[in-house]
Amino acid sequence: MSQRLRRINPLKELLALMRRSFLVLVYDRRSFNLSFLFPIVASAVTVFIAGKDMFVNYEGTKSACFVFCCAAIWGGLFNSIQIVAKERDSIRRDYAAGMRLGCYTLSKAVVQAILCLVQTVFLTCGLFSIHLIYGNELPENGLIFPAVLVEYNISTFLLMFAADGMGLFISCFVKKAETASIVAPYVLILQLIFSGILFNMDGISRILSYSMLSRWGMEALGSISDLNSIPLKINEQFSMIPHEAEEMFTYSDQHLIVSWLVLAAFAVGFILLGNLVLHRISKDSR
Amino acid sequence: MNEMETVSFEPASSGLSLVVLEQGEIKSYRLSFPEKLTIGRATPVSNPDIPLSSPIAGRSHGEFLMIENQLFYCDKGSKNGTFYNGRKIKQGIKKQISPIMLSPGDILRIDYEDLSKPDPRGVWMLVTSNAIQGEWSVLSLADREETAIGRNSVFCDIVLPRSYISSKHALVTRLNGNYYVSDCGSMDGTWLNGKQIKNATLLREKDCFSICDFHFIFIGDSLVYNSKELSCEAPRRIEPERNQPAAVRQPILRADIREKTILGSGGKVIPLLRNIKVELYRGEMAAILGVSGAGKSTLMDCLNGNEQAGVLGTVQLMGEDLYRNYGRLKCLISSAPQRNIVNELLPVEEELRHAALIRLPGDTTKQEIKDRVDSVLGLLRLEEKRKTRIAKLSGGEQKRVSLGIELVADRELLCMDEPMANLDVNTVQHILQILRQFAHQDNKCVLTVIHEESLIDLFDRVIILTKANNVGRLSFAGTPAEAKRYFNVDSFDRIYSLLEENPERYVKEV
Repeated sequence: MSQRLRRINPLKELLALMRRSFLVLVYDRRSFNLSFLFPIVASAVTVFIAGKDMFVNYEGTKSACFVFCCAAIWGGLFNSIQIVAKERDSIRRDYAAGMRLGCYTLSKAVVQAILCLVQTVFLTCGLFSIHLIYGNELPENGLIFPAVLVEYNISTFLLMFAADGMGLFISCFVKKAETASIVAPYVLILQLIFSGILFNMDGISRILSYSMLSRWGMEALGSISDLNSIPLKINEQFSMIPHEAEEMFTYSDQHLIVSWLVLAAFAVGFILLGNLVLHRISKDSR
Repeated sequence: MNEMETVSFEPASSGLSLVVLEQGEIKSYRLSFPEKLTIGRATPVSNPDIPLSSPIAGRSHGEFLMIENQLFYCDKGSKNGTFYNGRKIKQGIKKQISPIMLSPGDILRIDYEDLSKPDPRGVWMLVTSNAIQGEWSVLSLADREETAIGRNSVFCDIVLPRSYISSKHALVTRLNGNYYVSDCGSMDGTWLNGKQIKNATLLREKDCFSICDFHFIFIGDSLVYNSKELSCEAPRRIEPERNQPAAVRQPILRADIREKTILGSGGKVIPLLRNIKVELYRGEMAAILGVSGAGKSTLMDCLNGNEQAGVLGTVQLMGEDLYRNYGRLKCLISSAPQRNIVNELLPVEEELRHAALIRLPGDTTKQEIKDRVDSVLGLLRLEEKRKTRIAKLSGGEQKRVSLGIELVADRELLCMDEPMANLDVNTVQHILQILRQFAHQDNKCVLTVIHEESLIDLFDRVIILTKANNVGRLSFAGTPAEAKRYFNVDSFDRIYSLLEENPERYVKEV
């Protein structure tokens, strides 16, 4: 069939779709409230369950970082995993009328990025709370920025946004919102298992773990927390037992930047893939 | 000796006209056929039915024929030949020339070999189904550097009063004695000689550029254009067509579907429809009815261009072949889905505003969008609910919002396939009354598939399908009152019963 009709210019269309995405987010009161409640609750849980030993010993810090990591992935994924699938009929109708799918996907990504930003601030408040409640000292300096909290925020945001991008891709791929909900737990399980934290990864498992957001999130958080320098719990009694450094938590600005770039690449990659698969929408049965 | 009965002879009418432009003059001829119509240069020794004055045309240049209800043109071996849509009709073996089948929108030209350098004495002919005698206007371009064509009456020289036409749609510019047509980033594009243009393109003698269903022919230093609605001064709103005498009304959509087939498993061709003739008019609401499996949805898809594969026959929209010109004409059609497709989280006004933004040209101002949305809210009787979230509306109100998304686009033909399934009869009646008002007041055509027999009298026209040998066939096409007389019944539910009892009896042979 002939070429599609052109409507408003792409920038205006993007702004209009962003406005609509934002309104949809705000008008869905239940989801909107949950979006902010979740990081607050996750942060509180982390503080009270894993916060006591964070920055005190290696195991406590690693566990707390892992909980933050999981919370970020969980929050990001559930932000977006249904948002496109729920609107699929409307998207198809508007696409037939000339809407640019690229503008649509980008509008969703931008609004989700803003949401992730706000959620990140709530989530990383937990770190400050750990200091307030338990008196545990955060690392003095960051690897790149003087204030270490900035690096925690950036890492958490990138991880959450990458997970959000993954959710967006799934939402673009499936045809029904229910299917997306069914897929979510399996995605999370894979992230947990192949993060490299719960189990040692060797061989193929190790290679696979590099495709997991959880691994790169932990690499970033572990680096910032300088996990390799924090003593083991057993060192409280037996200080001579060495703490072997793990390559995963290399304390260097280069390592941190690589982790950030990989997470950013995941985010962009998922969004682009999502846009690509969304173009199959015209083949949906009417 | 018995008196012989005489029957007045009515020449067959093709429903088509021929617009002839030569040497600055425009004439049009209705293509009515005693046997054939000849065309050629008028001389003391020749008297063609369509006389030309151009010396390039032969005395017996060609003829128009009607073969099995289809219009054909045959060049009679003329010296300079005839061009059909830009290509010269070739002679075959022994200089025989086969007749060319013609459809509305086809262009014939008589000229010398090189159409890129047309001779001012050449002849340009357009086959059209519009009754356009006396309705072609001429605008001289000689005294202006630029001629703007678009929706905006303030800065456009030729105003096209349609909401889906861009504010400034196209521009004709004079440069170094030549004229160029360019598209101004419009929504629906500008088409020159059947191809969409992107950049400023040189206009040659008798080139024809189109904006949706408006045609402009470049002749000398002038533009010749069609349609009663166009004006160089201010847009004129024509009187609703349904108030005009039936004899002069032209259908907005005319379909002659000989067969519609699909490929089944194993490559078997399965016919779905056969011999369906439909005419729809502006200012009317029409219904497609029929027994289950008669092909109502299939017919709807054929008529709105959603389903073109496997269709043998023609569907004409605004006098032009819809399938051949689908890229240009689809902006005239909107199709409302069966289900409500709305974002229930948003308020009514916001949803309609977004729909208008997506569907109207990019240069539609905020005020125009607001006015359009307000107009549709008024039509849908939802002004008081404009700020209400769609999730809080009743089923009928939600359906109205879903229809409103198509109404904001302001297309000429609105197609709906069972849009009111799952609604109660009172709600359906209410919505139909709204659509009827839309059709009548705004001079649009609304076409819907419907099952509620009690509401058929709300429609201006009905198309009733039946099923014979598993193929959908036309049973009746006309007004509801005519349908009742035809079937000799008082109510439409009785028609359904008759069709179900004996479907093959009511097949109308066309």
